[in-house]
Amino acid sequence: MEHSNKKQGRESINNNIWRKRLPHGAYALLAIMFFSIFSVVNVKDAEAVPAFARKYVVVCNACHTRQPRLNPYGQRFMENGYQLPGTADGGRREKHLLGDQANGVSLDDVSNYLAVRLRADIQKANYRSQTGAMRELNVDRDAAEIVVPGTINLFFAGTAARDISFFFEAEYDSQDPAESTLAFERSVLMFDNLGGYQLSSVKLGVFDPSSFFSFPTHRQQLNPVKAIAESNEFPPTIARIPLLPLAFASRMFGLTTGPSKLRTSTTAGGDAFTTTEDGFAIMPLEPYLFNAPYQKGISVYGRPFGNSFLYQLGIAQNKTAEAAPKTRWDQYVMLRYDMQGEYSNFQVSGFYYTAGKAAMPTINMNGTLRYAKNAVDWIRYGVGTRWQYKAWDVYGTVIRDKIDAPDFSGLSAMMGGNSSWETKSSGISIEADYLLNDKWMLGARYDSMNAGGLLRGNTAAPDWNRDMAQDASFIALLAKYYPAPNIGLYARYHHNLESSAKLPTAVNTDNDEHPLSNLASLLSLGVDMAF
Amino acid sequence: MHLTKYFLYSVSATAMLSLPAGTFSLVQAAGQKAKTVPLPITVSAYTKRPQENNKSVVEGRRIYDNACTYCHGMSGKGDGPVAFYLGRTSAPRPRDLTSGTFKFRSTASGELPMDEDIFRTITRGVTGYMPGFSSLSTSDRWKLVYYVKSLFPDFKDAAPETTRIIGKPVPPSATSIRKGYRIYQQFKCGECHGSGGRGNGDKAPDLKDDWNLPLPPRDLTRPDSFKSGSEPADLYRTIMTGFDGSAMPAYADYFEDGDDDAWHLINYIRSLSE
Repeated sequence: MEHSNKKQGRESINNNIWRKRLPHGAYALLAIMFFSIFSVVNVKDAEAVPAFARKYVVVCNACHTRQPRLNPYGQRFMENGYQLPGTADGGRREKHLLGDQANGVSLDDVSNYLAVRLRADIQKANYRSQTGAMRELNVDRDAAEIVVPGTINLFFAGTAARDISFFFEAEYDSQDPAESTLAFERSVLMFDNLGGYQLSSVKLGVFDPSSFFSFPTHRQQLNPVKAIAESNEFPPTIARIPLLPLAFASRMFGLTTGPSKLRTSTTAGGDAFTTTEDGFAIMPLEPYLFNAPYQKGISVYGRPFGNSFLYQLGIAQNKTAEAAPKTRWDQYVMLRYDMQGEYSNFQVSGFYYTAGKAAMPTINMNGTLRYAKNAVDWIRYGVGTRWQYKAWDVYGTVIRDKIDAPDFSGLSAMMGGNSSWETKSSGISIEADYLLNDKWMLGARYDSMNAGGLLRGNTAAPDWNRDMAQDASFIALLAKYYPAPNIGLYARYHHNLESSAKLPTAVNTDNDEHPLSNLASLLSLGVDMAF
Repeated sequence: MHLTKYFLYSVSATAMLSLPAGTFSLVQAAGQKAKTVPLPITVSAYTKRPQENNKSVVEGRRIYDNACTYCHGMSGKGDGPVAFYLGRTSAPRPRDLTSGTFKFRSTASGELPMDEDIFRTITRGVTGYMPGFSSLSTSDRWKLVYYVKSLFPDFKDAAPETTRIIGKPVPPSATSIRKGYRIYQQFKCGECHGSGGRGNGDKAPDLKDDWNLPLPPRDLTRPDSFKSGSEPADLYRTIMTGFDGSAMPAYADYFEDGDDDAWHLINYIRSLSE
């Protein structure tokens, strides 16, 4: 978990660096130009298709409702280790046999392994006010921004041999000097159909544990909009919250990945300064635990009783949030039931995820960090469902979290010893997508979260932490146009349904809005293409 | 009538032939000169053909449930959950296997396909729309054929057609291509496929299949998009037997010079992409 948390912090900073400012009002002109350019592009055929479509010579819709969402066939293709459902074709399909049948090797063309996905946005956020965090991170209240696609995701996926498959997602940020290295966000080896077809498969590496869940963290029609924030301090500096399914969010305030170790150093000029060695704020809207974008671990899954019932068991390796971090092994189980009908597929799934000593309850008492005696255990569980019928794709999930009650005994009341905590939180996300025709898709998503964690650090007086744990709810609308099946042009609008909430007054001299309510809306025009 | 159905003449005879994998030779009927046509089915496909009985049909059903239901539906009506995404507003929609209408045949228009036709479609797929299942074992593919046949009762009573042999291919030449061009004009292929073969003929926008779905004619300059294959034998089969359920008719009864006309036309079509 620390892994993902740190990464989130990096991404947020990167995002902040590479957003390019536009002159006021220019976004409208750009938007018109953007759609005008693409409206005259007459793309009759999908000339460029991702690797699997290239390999199997089938249209994108064989596996996707609309890219990137998988339809039931695409889901089964993924489950089967990128082999056609009902087969184990990884050893020879479209490959060249070098040598003889008995001792030779089958190798695929590289183009059958490689795919690229690019996304670019023009975003216009509407904030209620420019908060101190926004000023600190140089975010204007009413600027339109082009989010430069400086980060390119390359996918290498396929089969090395029969029932042995792999998936690597490499991210390269060409514009960030600090991160200009090739890094694999997700890297997975799969051993499929062990003991018989569908009986059991093993996934090993860094991956999204929820990829088989009815509402997976990845492959959303509404791609997550990244946060503009810095999480290597507590509380985190949040200029703009991320926009993603709130059911996935950690939803817990006042937690870190471990006690920070502040180190005091001195500059050449003799000025003292402190740096944080360890311990990151767990962002309240960060996808977490079962819904973390990537977790290192092992997962076993299969359908031993036919096509209806899917099981998944897994462990994820993380570090405890203790002062002396130890390796922790999170455990999870996911069960899914599928039912197929006329032009339809219905599925319901449930999961249970447990993480021991996963978070350190933390209070910032006027600049001094106070930690609970012990790291707390964290349990996450939820149900999800998906119903596809003809042009409809409707899916939703309810996820609940529970942490142990933090122990701040020994601290005085003024130091937060009587802090109040909510140990439970919940979130719900529901999305409906409707294909008007082959070119147009409309979508809507509702997200809501009931926050937990730190309610108030010091009940005796106003402090840094009071009223931080705010609920949130958003509604998002999406219109997507596909000039070709692998190119989606979209307009999306997120509207904050929560009323204004203020940050605690003790440290909020500017009467700042709470980050969860400050982002009133966000309009985005963009392109999402895979080839 | 030069109805040509170029598949098997004799399974037993061909099985004895020593051929490289991926090709298949046909021997013409007794008294005629042997002619060969490459076919994308291996000899082993025939030698490993299992018995067609209840047990193999049940086995075929199991394979179908794992591999085919997503598009063709639980009952074979072409109404699987993915079918809508593939063929909502334009053809091809996944085949309704209970309807008895099959596009890819080596039999006459309106007739049921031969077992080998179904086998070939399962093995090779349909370019752009259905992946080929060559990775299923030969035996499994045959069992799948038997199950598919069980979905349409008329298959039980269908007598196997005696396979006709394709006439000797006419080698590509300028003369043959010119003749092919004249045939292309004579039979007004350009009304659908366009004068240059780009699939943009005057009638192209209005073409629909039996399910009233728009079915644009193929761009003949893009052989990689030919649904039933782009080899000469594939084109021969398509031209002579047509695509049932679509606007593509069978021309086997109309060519004055029979096979030679077909081969001239094939040479012309292939020249469009060279």
